[in-house]
Amino acid sequence: MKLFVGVLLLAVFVFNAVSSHGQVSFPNGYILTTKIHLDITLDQYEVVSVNLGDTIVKVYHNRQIFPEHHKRGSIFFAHGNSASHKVWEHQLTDESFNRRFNLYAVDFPGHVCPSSSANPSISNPCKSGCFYLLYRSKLQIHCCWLCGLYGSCSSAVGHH
Amino acid sequence: MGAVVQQLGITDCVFVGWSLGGHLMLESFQREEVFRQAAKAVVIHGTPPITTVSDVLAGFIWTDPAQQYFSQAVVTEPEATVAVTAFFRPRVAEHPGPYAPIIAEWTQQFLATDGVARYIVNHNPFGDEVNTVESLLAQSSTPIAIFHGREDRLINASYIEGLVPHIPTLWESSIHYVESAGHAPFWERPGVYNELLDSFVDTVFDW
Repeated sequence: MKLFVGVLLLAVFVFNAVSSHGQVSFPNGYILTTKIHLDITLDQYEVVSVNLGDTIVKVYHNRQIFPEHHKRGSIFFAHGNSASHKVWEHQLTDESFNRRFNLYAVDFPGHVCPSSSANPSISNPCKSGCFYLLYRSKLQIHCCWLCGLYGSCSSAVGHH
Repeated sequence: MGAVVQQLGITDCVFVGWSLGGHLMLESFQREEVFRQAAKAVVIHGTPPITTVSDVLAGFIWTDPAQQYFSQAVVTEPEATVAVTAFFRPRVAEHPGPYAPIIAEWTQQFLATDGVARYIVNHNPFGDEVNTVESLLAQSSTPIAIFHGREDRLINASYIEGLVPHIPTLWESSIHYVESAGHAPFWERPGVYNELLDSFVDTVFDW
């Protein structure tokens, strides 16, 4: 029994040694995690609302995780089209990153809005974030055209 | 991004952008002094730097049927599932296996995105800048890293390879491929991805 436990502990040690982040992915898609850590979760992230005028951007920050650690720098994660900060879960919950860096992840305007794809409209404040996406100066024609399409053009005109 | 960076007081930062997020990083870098001041380095993946229509045609793999849904205002749940599945390796489409839960979760994220925003982003790829992304990257003194899933279904890696000689601050002068991963290597191969990011960040911060 002692031999078994000893071999097991050695295996875990070696596994972590070859993978500093304690995770090894296999070709079939399974991810094996052996890192003994504090079970960092996204729920521990502080949500910071950044007011950009007529829209608010939510940024998630690990301020409360390892607050005693001196974090010399920051890593800021920006998700892709039609996603959210949650896609970065494996990075945001990584103990090594959390110990050393301020970690931020943003939810872009126009994202994480319930049922938006089924009924797109800019009349909903949550959805008005489209005006703030990449190329604001060129959005007006497209927004108005789309709003006409979806029956809320007056809202768009009023917005500008 | 500049306003976000300014309000949060972010400095000495490595900005990591995936796909659209990568384009936003490049765009902010090009346009915003506040962003440039805060950027210690920039990492992009699944992001072909583009300036012209021909760049768009060359940088993305348009033959993939999932591409259409990323610019479509109204999508159904099955269409969103097809789009999200394209984030992963090609074999996942036929054999979701352990990917099924994450595909389901990301499909809901996809459906929770304002369709208008999705439409606009992909129909307004060009701003009014006079500098090309290529010239930006060529003139930048900020370290840049490009990661890429080896089996990315959506992005043409050879297009990005063509830009490599023109980016003097590119980390190790090459694209860093993540094997057995598609468009979202940070999820498919988190251990490999995190170590890669860690290595780059280490060089940037010189711990």
